[in-house]
Amino acid sequence: MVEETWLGQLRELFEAVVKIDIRNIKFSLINIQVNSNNSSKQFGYDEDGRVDSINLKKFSPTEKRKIGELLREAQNEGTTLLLKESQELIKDIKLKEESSDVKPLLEFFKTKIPPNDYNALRAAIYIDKRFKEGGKFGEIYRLKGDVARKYDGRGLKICNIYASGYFETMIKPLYEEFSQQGFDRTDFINKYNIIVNEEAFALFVRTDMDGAEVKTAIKIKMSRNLKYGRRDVTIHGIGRSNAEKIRKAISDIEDEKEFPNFDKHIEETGNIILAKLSF
Amino acid sequence: MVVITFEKSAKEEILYFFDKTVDEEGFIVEKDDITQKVITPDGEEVTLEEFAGIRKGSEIFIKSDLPSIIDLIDKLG
Repeated sequence: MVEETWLGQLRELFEAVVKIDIRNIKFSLINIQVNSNNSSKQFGYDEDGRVDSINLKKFSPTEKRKIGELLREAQNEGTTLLLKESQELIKDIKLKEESSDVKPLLEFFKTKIPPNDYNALRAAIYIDKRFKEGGKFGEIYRLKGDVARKYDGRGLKICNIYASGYFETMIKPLYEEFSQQGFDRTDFINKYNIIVNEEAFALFVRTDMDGAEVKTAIKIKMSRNLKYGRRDVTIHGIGRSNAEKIRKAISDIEDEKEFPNFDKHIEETGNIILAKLSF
Repeated sequence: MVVITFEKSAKEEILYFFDKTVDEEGFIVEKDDITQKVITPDGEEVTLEEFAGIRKGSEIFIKSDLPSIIDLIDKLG
């Protein structure tokens, strides 16, 4: 690996400062860490005997100024200066994104949903994995806060949709269904946006739910939405069997006449059903 | 390419090397003009606590939150 110019100058500086033959100073060509603490050491070595850390507190103001100039030069030449914890986070994110249970999903959605949503999905995956690994409440809360600050409520909805498994069980099949019908991406994005925007007040019907469970789930959602000031619910389903269960459940609820202002609007496109109930 | 990381304890020294300081509210500002806060390419101001580094391209400040680090992964390649 070719040594950068600034790194060569850093070596010369060290020779002048610590009075060691320059031939004996080898710098790590992978990582140099800058510390500023009260340890007694001026610099640290890796297992191969290369200098891999510098303690700024142990250098004079003049020497520090020179080191600073060299760091600026390094940054100017393309080196990124990065907080050690952030470097560790990058490694952890990459590791998790390579895992067999998420890599295919990320590859699938990479160009299919808006770029900000895609990055929110990546964040959602990381948060979900940290949670399942036993990440403490404080950490998970902080990470979700990061997502909320960057992507507002939409980012948090994407986190919830991912954690509930709906990217795999609803949105991916939705895209595949549209793909089979003479694809218009606008149609998919419109439906996708409904799923995301209505996340908190929507019901996603799964194949493993029987008819009675679908009806109960719809009624529970209606009650919950009403409690929080919403007089509507959106129901999503994919597949003929789910569509039938949803239609039947809606019909039964309508017949019960529990809600005087009950109204329904059902759209079916191929095997996709989207039902909006107001009450 | 060598990666230069730094510990939290070195944050202010690193900023000093780049002619930056921290104002009373904790935001990173230009040393010669403390009314000028540094901003990320997204236009966000950066506090000392959020500061996670500087990338090439004039001075591109990096924040430590999860979405910013995910963005950085793509930029670093």
